[in-house]
Amino acid sequence: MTTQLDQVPACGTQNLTKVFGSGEQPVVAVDDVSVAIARGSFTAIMGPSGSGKSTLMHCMAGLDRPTNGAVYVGADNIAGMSERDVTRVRRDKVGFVFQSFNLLPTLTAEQNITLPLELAGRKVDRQFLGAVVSSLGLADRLTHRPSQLSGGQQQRVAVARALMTRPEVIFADEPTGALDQKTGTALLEYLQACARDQGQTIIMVTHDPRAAGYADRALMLLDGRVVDDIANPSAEALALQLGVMG
Amino acid sequence: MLRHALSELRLHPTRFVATLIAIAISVGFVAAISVFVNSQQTALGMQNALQLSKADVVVRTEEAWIDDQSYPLPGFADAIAAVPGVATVLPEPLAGAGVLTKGDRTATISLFDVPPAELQWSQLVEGRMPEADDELALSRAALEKLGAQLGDAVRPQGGDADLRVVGVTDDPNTLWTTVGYISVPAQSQEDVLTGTFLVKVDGDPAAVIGPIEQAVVGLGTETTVMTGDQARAEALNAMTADVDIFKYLLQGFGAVALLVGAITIANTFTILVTQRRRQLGLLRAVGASPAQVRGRIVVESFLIGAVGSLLGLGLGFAVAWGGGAVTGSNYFGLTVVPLELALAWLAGVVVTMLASIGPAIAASRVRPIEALQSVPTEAQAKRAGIVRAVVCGLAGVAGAALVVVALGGGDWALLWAILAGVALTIAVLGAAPLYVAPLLGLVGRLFGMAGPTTRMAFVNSARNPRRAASTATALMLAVGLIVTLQAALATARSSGMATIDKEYPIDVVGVSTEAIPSSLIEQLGALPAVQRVVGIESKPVGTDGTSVIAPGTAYEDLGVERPNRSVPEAGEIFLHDEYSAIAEAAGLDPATLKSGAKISLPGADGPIEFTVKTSGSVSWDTGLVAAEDFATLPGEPTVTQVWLKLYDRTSSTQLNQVTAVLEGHPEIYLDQSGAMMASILTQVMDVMLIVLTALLGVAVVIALVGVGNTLGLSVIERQRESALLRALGMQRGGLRLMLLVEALAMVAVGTLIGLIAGSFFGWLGVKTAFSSMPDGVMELRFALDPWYTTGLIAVCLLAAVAASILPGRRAANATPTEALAAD
Repeated sequence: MTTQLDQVPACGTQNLTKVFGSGEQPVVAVDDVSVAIARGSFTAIMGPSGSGKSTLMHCMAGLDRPTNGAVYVGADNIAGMSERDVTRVRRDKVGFVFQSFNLLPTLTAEQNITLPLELAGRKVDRQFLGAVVSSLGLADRLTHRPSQLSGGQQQRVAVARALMTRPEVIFADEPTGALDQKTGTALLEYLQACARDQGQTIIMVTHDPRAAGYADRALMLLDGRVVDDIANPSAEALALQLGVMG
Repeated sequence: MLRHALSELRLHPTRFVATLIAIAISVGFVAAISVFVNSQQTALGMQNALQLSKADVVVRTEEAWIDDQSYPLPGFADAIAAVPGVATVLPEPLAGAGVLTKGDRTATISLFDVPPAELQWSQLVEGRMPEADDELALSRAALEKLGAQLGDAVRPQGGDADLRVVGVTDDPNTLWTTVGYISVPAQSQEDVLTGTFLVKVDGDPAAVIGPIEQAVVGLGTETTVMTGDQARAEALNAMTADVDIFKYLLQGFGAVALLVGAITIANTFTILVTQRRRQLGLLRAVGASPAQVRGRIVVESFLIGAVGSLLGLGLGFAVAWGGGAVTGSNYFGLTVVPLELALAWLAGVVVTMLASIGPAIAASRVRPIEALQSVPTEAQAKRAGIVRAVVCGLAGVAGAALVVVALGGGDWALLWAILAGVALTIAVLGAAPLYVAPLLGLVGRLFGMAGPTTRMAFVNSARNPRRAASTATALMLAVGLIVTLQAALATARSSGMATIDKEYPIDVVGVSTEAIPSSLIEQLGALPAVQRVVGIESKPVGTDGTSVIAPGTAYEDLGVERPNRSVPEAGEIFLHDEYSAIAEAAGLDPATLKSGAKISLPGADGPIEFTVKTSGSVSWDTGLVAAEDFATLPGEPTVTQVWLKLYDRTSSTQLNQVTAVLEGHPEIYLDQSGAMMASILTQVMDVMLIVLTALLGVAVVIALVGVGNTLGLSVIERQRESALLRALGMQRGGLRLMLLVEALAMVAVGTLIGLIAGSFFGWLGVKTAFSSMPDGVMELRFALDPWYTTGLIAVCLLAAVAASILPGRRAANATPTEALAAD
């Protein structure tokens, strides 16, 4: 049953353009992109290297400022916000999972997970924490430092951290890039379940068609533009597509 | 290799800025001492040789009395004058130091009689030389000191006639002397015996030396003849031995600065090596041998040391010039001993290279595989070894044992205390990596409730124990040394003050040979400095000026605690324990006088017998009796003593108010006055405190530069973490706060340990020094100078704040995208 809230996209962009450099050869990384991401969707952003997918994600996540256009997180346009306000948006409304180096080495796993909440001064919902932690199988790893965790465990801690603030959207940048196949598959299945069962909006940037196959929407980027928008992508079809795009 | 090293330095010049500063300051300190002291020596020598400035030949002969004959014989000067080529022979103008006053200003001036024109060494700027004996000429510097001008009158201290300033000269002044000229009446000049004659010569002075020597044979004893240049050089070198001692003492402080600088430099290189692990791994992978890698680091350190030391020399010159401007010796220019400066430069280079040996060896141990590690390895926080723990433990035990020995007293106690200090310093500083990090972690947990920022800050500062420890160590050493000296001085001062308070409880005791008018007592009481005043009556004993007083309730009236043996019982008399004129007059031998002896003093109805009690706080011509006995002794009581209580007995200004009033009453002299001693003690100690703090302050500055250095370099390797924190939503201010807390934590630990250790060593030093004095002379009162010590702590903490500013901005400006990009 759709409600009014469901119809507001979790995030999106309007005529987003990002240009690097101002000299002779400015690089247009993102060229007039307008997308809307529905709530509870698991979207993959794909493309060959240099297609602007990482830049698009950075702008959508508030990590970078667009040159032109609007960026929406929830109903707010963050493109015009001050640095302080954007930081707050990142803290409260966005979750991150990076390819590597996700965690602060001086904190334990649990401290890493609760970090955004502590930064915001919000109380930790211990029940929710317990649920997230056990669903990721981290219960016995909470007091360990990142150097004592495997790559897969580190990524899972990052996912737990991203989930704790119940953000509008979670951005994952090549989350399985540094993992072996088995661990990577498990992670992707978990993300899929989060979207489907919990209604968590997830946007994943990847170049791996197999990973994108777990998403229910794939945006193909080439030279800073969206060239294709595929619903319920299959890994094989995506691989073909990527091959054609070169 | 030189090229590589140069390119490394050129690529990241800012990384080495702090190190260069540290070296420059250390070497600058050493250079400044050398140039400054040498310049002062020159200036002093020049001043000493002032009279000789224009002489071509100087003839010196001993003034002696041999076989009823006074040498030099009269005619000595004429004999010289008769030598062909000699133009003028004149006795050396005499000089004496005089204290002149004008109004309330005083100055000590070296007063010369007016030299003849051809021998004059300075110029008259205004007016003329004195001709009458109520005239004088002063240098500009002397006029400044007195606040006087041409035409003013000045008065010799204690004299009763003014001298008028008739001329102004351009004599320079140095730290110690200022010049003036008086006129010595003509007839007394001939009677003046002098052994030095200044000779002006037509032609070459050297040629005249032989003939002069021959001419004066037999007329004088131990005659030397030398050219003016030789005599001037001699005057310059006369003080070399004393000045050298002074120089070496000061260079001791320079050595401390270099030591602290060495720790900072070692730190920098350690951090840099850690950050360049991938580069170094690459070098090794490509085929460089460990020796080549080591060599590279050493060459880098040589370059840094060379440049930094050069900068230091420049800094030293500037400081010495500034010092010379203050003392006035710049008039004679800066004296440079190239050898000493070369040594200073060399010391800087050597220290830098020695400090880089450890890091160079660590660099050569980087394995080639580290070049391939894409995720930057965390700084290998090696656990401090067992060896370190054992060595420091032994040093600590040895130190503790030596402390016990030192406290046992004896003549060598101070030496044991110094050795104990060295052992304990090694133990505390050496063991720093073992306790600094846990200490920081502990405090972090306490503060952890303040939020993730603070907690992370503490953990960050402790994550590399060795780095945190070395940074804190430099500060511990510098702060520890300063606090040791400050504590020693403050303790000595308060102990001395306590003894003065006990032995001389009355601030000012004025004793008069006549009756003191009550108007004077009122006048004294009305002075703003005087809290209470009491007149003490006395009665004469006999006719030789001795008297008896009964203090009675005087102590209470003054609000002063009674000293130990001060109030006689009925039938007792207190007399001086070493020599009492009263005892002598009564027929007793003052040298063997003991308590319990009986003494008879004439009473109104016959002799009264008293029991003697000896005391150190009675003056030699006075006896103390009880009030009842005082009444029965014959004679009219007159007030012959006035006792004053000042508001602050340590203030020389307050004391001066009293002495100014008493100057008009020459019959009153000050005796056993606590205020006099207290103010002298305070002044001396204050000067020493300032000087020592300034000298050791240099080392503290270097250590604080080291803190900024560590922070700045650490931020570089934490770029990604800073970026991650920004991505997760930490505000810029939060990152700056984190750096601030880190800086404060390190500085607080270093300062605290330095403070505790310094206080202990200062106390120990004074205690053992006292123990070699006779028992009971001084009571030990530990003290820390509140201003200097808290000032020191405040400076350190402020410096921590300042040190965190630039690194904080750097961390805060980390952009999430740049730094998080997969490398």
